[in-house]
Amino acid sequence: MSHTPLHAEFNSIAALRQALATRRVSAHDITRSALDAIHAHTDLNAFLHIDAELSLEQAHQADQKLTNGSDLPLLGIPIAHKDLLVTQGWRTTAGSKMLGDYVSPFDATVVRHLRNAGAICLGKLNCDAFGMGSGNENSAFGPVRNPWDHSAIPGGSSGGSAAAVAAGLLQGATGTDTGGSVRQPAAMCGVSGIKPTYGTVSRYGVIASGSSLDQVGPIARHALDLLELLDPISTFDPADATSLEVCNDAANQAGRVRNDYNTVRSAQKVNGSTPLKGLRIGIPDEYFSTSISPDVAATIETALQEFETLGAQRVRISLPRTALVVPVYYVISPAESSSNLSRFDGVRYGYRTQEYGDLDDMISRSRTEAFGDEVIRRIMVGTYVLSHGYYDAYYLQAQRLRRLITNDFRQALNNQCDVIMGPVAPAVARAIGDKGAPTDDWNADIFTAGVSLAGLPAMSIPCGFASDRNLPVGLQIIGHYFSEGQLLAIADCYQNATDWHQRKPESL
Amino acid sequence: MSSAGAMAVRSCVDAKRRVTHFTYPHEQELMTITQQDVDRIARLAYLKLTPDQTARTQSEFSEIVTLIQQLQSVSTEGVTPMEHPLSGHQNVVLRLRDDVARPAATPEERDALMANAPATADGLFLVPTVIE
Amino acid sequence: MMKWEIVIGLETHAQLSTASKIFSDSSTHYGAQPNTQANQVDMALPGALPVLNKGAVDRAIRFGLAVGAEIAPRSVFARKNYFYPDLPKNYQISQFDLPVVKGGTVSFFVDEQEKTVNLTRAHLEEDAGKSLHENFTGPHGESSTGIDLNRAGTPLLEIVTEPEMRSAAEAVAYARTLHGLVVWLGICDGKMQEGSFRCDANVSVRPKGQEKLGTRTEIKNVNSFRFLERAILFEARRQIELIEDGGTVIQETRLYDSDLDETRSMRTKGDAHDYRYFPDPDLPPLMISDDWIERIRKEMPELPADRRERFGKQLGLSAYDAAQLTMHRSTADYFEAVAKQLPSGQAKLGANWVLGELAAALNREDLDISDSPVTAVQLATLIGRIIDGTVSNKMAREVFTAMWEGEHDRNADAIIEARGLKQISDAGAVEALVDQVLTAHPAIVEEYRSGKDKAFNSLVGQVMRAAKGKANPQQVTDLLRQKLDG
Repeated sequence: MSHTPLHAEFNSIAALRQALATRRVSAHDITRSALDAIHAHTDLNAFLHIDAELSLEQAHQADQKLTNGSDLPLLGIPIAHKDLLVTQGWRTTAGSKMLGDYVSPFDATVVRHLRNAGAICLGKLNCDAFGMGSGNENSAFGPVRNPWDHSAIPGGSSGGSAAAVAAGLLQGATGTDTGGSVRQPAAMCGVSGIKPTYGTVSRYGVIASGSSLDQVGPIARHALDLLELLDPISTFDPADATSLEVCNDAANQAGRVRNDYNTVRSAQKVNGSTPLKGLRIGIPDEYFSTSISPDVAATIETALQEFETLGAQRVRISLPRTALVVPVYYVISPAESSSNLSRFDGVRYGYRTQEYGDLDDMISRSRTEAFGDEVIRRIMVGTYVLSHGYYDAYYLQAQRLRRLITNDFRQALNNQCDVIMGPVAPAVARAIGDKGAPTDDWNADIFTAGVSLAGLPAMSIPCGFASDRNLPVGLQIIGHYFSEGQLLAIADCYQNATDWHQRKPESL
Repeated sequence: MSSAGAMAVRSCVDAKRRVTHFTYPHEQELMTITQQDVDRIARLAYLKLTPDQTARTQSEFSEIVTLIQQLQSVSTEGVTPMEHPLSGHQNVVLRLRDDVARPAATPEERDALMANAPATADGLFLVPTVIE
Repeated sequence: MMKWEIVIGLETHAQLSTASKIFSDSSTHYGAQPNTQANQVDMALPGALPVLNKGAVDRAIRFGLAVGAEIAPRSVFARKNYFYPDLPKNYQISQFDLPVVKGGTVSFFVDEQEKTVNLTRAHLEEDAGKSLHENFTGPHGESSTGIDLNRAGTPLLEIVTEPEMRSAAEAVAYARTLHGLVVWLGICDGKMQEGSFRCDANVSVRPKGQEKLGTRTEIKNVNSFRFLERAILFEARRQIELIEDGGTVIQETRLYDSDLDETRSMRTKGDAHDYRYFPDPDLPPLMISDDWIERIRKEMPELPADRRERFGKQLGLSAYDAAQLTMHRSTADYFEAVAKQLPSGQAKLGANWVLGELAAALNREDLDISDSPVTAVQLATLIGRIIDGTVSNKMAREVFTAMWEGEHDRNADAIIEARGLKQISDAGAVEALVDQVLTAHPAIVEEYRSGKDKAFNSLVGQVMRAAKGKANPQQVTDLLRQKLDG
């Protein structure tokens, strides 16, 4: 396309919201523009289900509200949902043949909050089946292509979400993060993503992968937009027993993240040209002694120097059990998934095989035919580590080590630094189809999965490009529990001084 | 895994404090996953693997087990398992709801909840008959 | 001939009487149209999550207090993983390592002997749905079963005993007592025909004197006390015969067939018993504070054990009678209302009538005592007439039957009057009857004089017949003795 589509003319949700409020543009036109862009980029395979009529109906209602001067925070803003969040109206497939035709009779709580805030849903986004994968190659509906290089993976499992944002198809998208599935695709697609503190965003209506790890997180182009998308969904949900009512001393409700962000941002502004003065950034020794590609390491280093220019101070820290993160994660997550996925048996919904003998045969065949390799692999591992004779050695041991890993993080954040920074992934996006052993992908989760085990919040923001293919690199910023506002303020500060987040793929 | 990382891990091991439930890798033969193991797991998980899948799973499993066996190199005596990730940071307890029932669904509401079912009759889910 | 000992432990599932289910707000009301009381959570739709019902925990605490158990300050819900079509998630949320109630005891009477059984634990879990094998046809023409998830998610309290029972009779006595207790406490409606109270029996046998337990089998889901007894008897006999024939008992699950009066092995599935329990990540640990327990304790009704003690101390009842009367709160309440109307020291007579005539009449018509057509006050009035000598015990039974049928508004006095059942207590009249009989039956008098004591009873009988049953038997006996023995 030679000209910028209407919906992409706005650099932020705030700017678009302003234009809508002043009626300079209509929600209908914005939505129409976004739908057209989506159609123009089907080669990315980011979307699994579009329903123009549904979206335009939402836009119509938004326009009526805008005319009446409604001040809903996201009124008229086009977003889309990862296909692990159930939606009425649009199909929810979880990226799997198991739910190819499934239409949920209820909305996920997050979907409801964003709709109530006025956002327009453009459809459902492609993802690795049941959230299992780091390259969106495990989708039953084809891989998603990285907008920066169509032969490269976008990352996963929220590959569709990150690709759609990077391609400018919409303002923001929801993803889910279990071991890095928001942060890693955001990094690989050169956009921003945040995984909030476990328990701050509702899991009700999110198809469960690893129940003690899953969190919904928004993906957008920069921290300011993430703030607009995170604040309305960061709120206590009585329908989710793991949802928290309080975050330290504050109530878990809309406004908390925004308040914290404002407080930190105001304090930063007082420091003038060194807004991050006083900020201690912990750099874990173990992160840089693992095998990460040199140009990624160099790009991260440049970013860290930028933070120092902004006034922050680097502190060397140690997270001694980093080497155990991947084994611990790949015991706990598959164990929980194996149980969570038992409900998919073709009885009450989902894929049912055509030819079968008895009931057991029907269920086994249906599951095996519809799940896909990676899902089957993880169910097998999960079943194994929970099975008689192995539970103590694997699952119980992993939950104990989880406490030790968490203590490493808490120790650093309590005593030595305010945030921890490092790479999101050891390398830039590899080529689609260029897979090694399954455990190769698993090992690449080493920087992100530990954060999930500890339940801490973390962001990924673009900080440069690397490799001869010139692909995006993401910087991970990990904060203490409930510090989403602070993380976003720090990221916004960096994004005011740099322009990585404004870069767009050439093809667009 | 890098040697630096592994060194950090080994420094945590105190050979005298052992968890009694299992033996350390150097004290037992390296785990080999047999076809029977794969079959048993598949049966428990209600999966019907083809012979190809079984063979592939068997070899993948050996690699995966090598990965996760690293867990056993660290003693965790006296450490309580962590089920909710925030349980170390704040008091996480189960929240309860009041014992109030919603009214029964109308047949239409019921049908909406069952709309994705492959086979139904008279408001019931149908499955091939189980003989007991 | 080897002497055998039967060892029995019982696992009982009591449906808790909450309004809504344990993890969802669907109603638990019995008998609704299929799948109209099953919401997203109960159907295990993708994305649905469980939230625990406080009412279920209240009832578990109440039970724990009643049996003198320890209430766990921290307990954990665990997933029990297995596949079954009436189990929508293909795992059941239950409790494994850390149940809400630990220990406790239940005492009961078997043949007038008191026995106490220790409970291992009691824990909360969710019930499964129901399979209806009613010749449905599936999409490929295959014979199909219908699944109704209305029951899925109903709260259950699973109560487990130590293997301390030694006979089917003991097991049934325990089960009846437990049933009475949970209904008494108001935590379960006890309607066995609706599946509210289901017993599984673990049965094994061992040579008398052997300490090691034999292999046990589990008899599942017996839903009547009569069948429970028969099932245990059959299974014990089966195991003994099997071992005596040189076989070995396999650990397995069996079902009781009431038509054929036998137990049958259920389809075993090899590794089906590897439930892979792990703490449910969707439910943080349940914390029960001392305050909460105190609140429940204050709301507790007077416990059967305390009532039994009171009946013994204040009303002079035997331990056995007190136990019988406190099997059900409604029975105890009824009895107490009767006893209140009677002169002091006469409670035992009241007990006899409640446990005797009234119980028989209720059983005959399959009525609960709370539905008794004869009220406690009405019955007490009748008993009062026995005590003051207006009617004999025998006549009183006739009055009772008339009251039961509703005659004269169930007014005992009116019935006695109308039927002329008043006892003849006038000494002169009785003496006349005695003289009459002695004169009429010289042969029996002779038998008595020659040493046959039985003849005396025969004479008493003759007098009672002559009085048309309306003489006071004690008076008759005294007068006869006087006249015969001089």
